Amino acid sequence: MEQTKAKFIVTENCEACGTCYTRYKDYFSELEDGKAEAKNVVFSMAQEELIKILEECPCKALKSVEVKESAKQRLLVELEKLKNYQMKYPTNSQVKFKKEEYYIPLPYASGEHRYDYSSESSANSAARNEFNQRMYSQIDVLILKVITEYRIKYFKPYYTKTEEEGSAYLKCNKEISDILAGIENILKEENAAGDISKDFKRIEVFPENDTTWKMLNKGELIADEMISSIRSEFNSQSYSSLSSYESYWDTDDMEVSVGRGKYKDRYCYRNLHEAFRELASDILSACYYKDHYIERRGIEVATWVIDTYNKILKQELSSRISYIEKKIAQLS
Amino acid sequence: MVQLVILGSLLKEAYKINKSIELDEKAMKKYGKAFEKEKSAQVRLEKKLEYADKRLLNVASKKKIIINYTLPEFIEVYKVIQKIERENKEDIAKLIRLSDFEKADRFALVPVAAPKGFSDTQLVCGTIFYGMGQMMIKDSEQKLSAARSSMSAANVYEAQADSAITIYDAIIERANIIADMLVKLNILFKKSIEQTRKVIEKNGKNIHDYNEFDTSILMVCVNIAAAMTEFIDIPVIDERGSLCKSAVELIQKGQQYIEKMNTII
Repeated sequence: MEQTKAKFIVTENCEACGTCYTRYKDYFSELEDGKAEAKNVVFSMAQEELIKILEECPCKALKSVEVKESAKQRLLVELEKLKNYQMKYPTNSQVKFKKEEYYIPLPYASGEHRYDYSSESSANSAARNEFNQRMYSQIDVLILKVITEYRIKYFKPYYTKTEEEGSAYLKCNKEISDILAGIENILKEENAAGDISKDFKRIEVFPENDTTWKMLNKGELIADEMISSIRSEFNSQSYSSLSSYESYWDTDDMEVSVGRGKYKDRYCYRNLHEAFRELASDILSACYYKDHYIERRGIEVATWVIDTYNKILKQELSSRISYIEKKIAQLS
Repeated sequence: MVQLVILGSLLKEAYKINKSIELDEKAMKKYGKAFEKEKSAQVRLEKKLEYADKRLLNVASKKKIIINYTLPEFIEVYKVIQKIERENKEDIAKLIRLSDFEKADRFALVPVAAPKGFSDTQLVCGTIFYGMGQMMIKDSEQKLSAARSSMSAANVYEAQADSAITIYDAIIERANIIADMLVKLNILFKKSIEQTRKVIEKNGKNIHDYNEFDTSILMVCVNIAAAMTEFIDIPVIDERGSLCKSAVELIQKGQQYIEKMNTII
């Protein structure tokens, strides 16, 4: 019976029926959303059998592509991929600081609406004190909050090993493992994989001993250094002084009985939350005005640790590359 | 003497300032850790939710596949089986349980189920952030104390997020089991429909032309369709977002059924 040398492709028609990866585990695997992915495997199969597999897909999402290249040619292609593999650096657009992604919680003003003050100026002064205590004196802390959240959101993948935190290294390690698995399969096709190490396709490279990784883990580099810069930005704005927020709250007065039928004017302050809201918005604006600085710094730091990863990866792959080159030479 | 006193006072003040700066730095470090802890927990939770969402939609996809692709195929052969039934009512009744026919009848009327978006269900536990109310501070010691409180709040948030993640893991596990079961059932069902189609093509509509093996093929097909009515509706979570306890029994039943039918077909 005539054998076809081919590999499978899963098209966009896949609707996640699961038949292919449940029935033909050697050729297909499951993606997170339940759709199928073709493994990088070239096989020799009778045409009838191949058609049977293709037709089992109810959505007609499977296709096969005939492979005409020799094993050696395919090995050379995979080897090139391996040699040129490098983790990519994050781009500005990937780590864009978007101020709408951050939220500064507003404090509760407990001293409002208390007609405790004898004059408007003393009510104003009390409002100023509460505003200062509750939020204005905490500007650095709030900047730290925003920057920390930014760091976790966009740069945590560069200093974590876990999948649930989106480790960028795990993704790359998997991509390289897939290339190596493809190479192993080609060698197996040619009966040349007898001496292959059982760890051949296992890649577990993490630059966890890198100083940058450690510093990022401690909250340094992307957080601490930026606070003063963003604070300066905030201070440079005309609205940044404590007194400039006074216009957001106001005072009220009413006659309060002081006994013996006598009344006195008493004052309170209110709408302090407007000042809190304005300050939160100004802090986020200050961060936003420094977005280029924040993004540049983040990318710079990520680049250091990615460079370390690429260096370790190169070392890790060198023996495998030599092994593959040796095999290619033997094939010819 | 006066100079010494002044120098002493100055040194004391310098020490206090230094101490205050140290405490401030400590407070900022503490705040940083608290924010990191909270945000990390939030990111983990979001990612888990996103993944759980995908796995639940995967279950819905499996159901849709059965309804959109396998069910129409079944309906085609079922129409013929019904004709055989009508023409040979008594004979076929001996072979196929009528209750299976009733169930299969219902199954043939199943509407296409729209997948329920998991994001719509409010499964995520409430965010606990003690806010800036903790920041009623006037000096560095108070700042540090507030930073510690912020850390406690972050710990609470992290613990809650971890609990939610554990729940999602259980949901994901359940969804995976059900999805796997539905795929296997669908494969069985398709195989059975194909066999039925061939038997009908070979024998036509007269039950007397069917031997024992042929009728058993028809019987199995209707039987699987009847079983499908039960298994296709296994819920992963209930409307309140809790894992359905009643589903456990059905899953076990389904898995046993697949094993049994695999030996028959």
